[in-house]
Amino acid sequence: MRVSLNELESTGRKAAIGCGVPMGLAQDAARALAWLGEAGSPALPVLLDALSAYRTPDTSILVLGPSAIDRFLVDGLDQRFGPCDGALLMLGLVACANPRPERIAVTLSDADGCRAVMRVTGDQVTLSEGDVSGPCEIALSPPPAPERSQRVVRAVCPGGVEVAEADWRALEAYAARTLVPADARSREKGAGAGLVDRD
Amino acid sequence: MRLGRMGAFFPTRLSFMRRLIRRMTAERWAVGCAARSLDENGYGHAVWQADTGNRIYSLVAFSTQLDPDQRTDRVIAEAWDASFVLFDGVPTADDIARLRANAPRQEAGRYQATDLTLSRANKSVRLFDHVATCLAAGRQPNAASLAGIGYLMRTTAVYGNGKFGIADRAVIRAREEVAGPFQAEMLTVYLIRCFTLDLVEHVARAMAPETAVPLAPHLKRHLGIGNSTGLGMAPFLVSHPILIHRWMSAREDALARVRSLESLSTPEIAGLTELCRRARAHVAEWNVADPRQAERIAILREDLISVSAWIADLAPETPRPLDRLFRRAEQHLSVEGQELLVAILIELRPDLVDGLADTMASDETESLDPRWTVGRLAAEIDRVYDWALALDFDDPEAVRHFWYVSEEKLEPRLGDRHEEPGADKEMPLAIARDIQGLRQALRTRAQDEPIAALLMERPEFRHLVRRAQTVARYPYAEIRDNLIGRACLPIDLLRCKLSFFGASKFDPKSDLWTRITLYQGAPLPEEIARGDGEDWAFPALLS
Repeated sequence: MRVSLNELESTGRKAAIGCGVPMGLAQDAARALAWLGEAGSPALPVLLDALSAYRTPDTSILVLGPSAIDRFLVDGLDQRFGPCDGALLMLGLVACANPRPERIAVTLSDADGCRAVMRVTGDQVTLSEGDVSGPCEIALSPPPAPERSQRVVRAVCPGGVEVAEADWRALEAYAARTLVPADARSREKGAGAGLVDRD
Repeated sequence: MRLGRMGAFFPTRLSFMRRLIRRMTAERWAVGCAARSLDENGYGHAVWQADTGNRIYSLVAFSTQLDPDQRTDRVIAEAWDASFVLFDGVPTADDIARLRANAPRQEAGRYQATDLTLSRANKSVRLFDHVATCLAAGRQPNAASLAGIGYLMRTTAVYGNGKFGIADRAVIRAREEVAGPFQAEMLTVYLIRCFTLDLVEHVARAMAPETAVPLAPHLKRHLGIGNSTGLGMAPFLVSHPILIHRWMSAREDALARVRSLESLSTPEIAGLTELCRRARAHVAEWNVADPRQAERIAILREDLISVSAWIADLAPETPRPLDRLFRRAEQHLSVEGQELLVAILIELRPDLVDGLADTMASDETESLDPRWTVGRLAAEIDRVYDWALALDFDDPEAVRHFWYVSEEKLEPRLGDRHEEPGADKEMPLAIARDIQGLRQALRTRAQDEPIAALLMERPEFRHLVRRAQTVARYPYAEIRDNLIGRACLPIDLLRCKLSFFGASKFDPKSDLWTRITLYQGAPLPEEIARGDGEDWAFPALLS
């Protein structure tokens, strides 16, 4: 099914909150999700992995990722952490950081030794994609020399992104945890208009 | 930016509807019915198009029979008299078939990136039937009835920006004609108005083809589109601080520009006199049942008598005349009176004001700089949130309410924290209370510590640090009131936002929802095509 980027971001944010992620981190994760989707990456499974792993927040990409970017901005020193589930989200977290480090490389390394490297230099974001899978170690560092296989990442799909319907339903289920069941009182006093209007 | 003042705002020429009509008129857009497939009861579909000269936008409208027991303005409704999609371009038969299967279901349907907005409306049954019956009998409807209600249909939602799969704002952001805030939504409502005026004439013709007459243009022009707005609109003002800053800032800049005029010419004084007369006529036709608003309107009518007298005293040699008027208003008029005067003053000099409408959009995201020190953040909070830090949240009444999203059609609601469950799922709109909590936490930290260290230990403050840093840069970004206190009136939030849309005739039905009128007095398609009718502030029918 196709969803809009706004749906992806807003539902992703609510889903993160529904999983207990604090609001500010949920905002970061949701923007990263939309960025990944716009960049053509399989965004939704990545967030779902991260949300599943949030049972242990101390090792979650949703917590460690923004925190590592903060520290990199403060002192410019290498940051290493992991392994984390949903590690691909780190690319979006860095790309959407505001302010974003002027020069930074994000390296994801999985258990099989595959790597993905994203470089940010000013406004340009490039990706040297490896086929990483499963939990990854994550490193933030000043960017090394560019590789020949890198591609420039651009927003490509304002028409929305394709997602698996089962993944979307899972995301909505998480998001539904933020909702309060309605009752007669809330319908009558907590909302607005009369139930039937014939004028 | 206090709630009491926001709840007294009036539309101005910076309002989004006014801006759209200015563009449509200046560029002489061609607006017309491209397809009409309606039965004798007016059920079926129609397509209304706006041709900008460079691009075509099409309103695909579906009119269906509605059981009277299902006719509700509430967002929880599941059926409507009419449903609409603003389609990007010219829809094919397949597009219309797809939309027919989805649009009448509204939120339960799915849409595509070619679909720019989604909306629905119910008839004002009293007026629609009256107008159709009169026209069928060959006579014009009662003007007083038209003035009293002001619309044939009222919408209950106009969705945009990616909801239910429709186009993201990114799809249209670069298009000059719809780049401003809510321009696609405002175009949708204008075309809905065209559809309703056409629909009532169609029904009249079907009732009595031999005797039916069209609705007189001056009556048509006075019919807008109604709208019922509830709490769904309120959180927007809190969750878009930079955008709201831009709206407010443009309004304040406009006012500052006219107040700084050193003098007025004799024609300008005459123009001001005429605007005040029109405002008085408009307010004279603004009647509501709500006792609080009715009293405010009564005082406003008295205020306008004073303003008329003050304007009569102006002369070309009067120094800084509009600043004097405004200062006098601050001393002697109600808040509604002051705000209506703002709308009048802004109206006087389009050359000074209209360009500011181009500054009211923002796609900027809030920033969080972890390099700030604790001391810097604390100082900024003390500076921009002094009003919040002064509130006493130990008082149970100061935390009486909580905002939440109902499971039922995802509708925002307001609960009583002391009597209802659900506060554990509170929406983050208690800015003042939560900023107090952040400020308290900062007292326990070293002043030269980067804020990154606090956020690592206390991630629950992350969104508040982001907000405080934003508000420090954008002075109109925050509503300076306690939005969870017993005294908070959500209706004030609604009126503020609706005034920026260009809504008029605010008709509160409770503290939580209001009816309004959109596009009343706006030019008709043939006037837009002639480049005529841009001046439609303060519409009145009976005087």
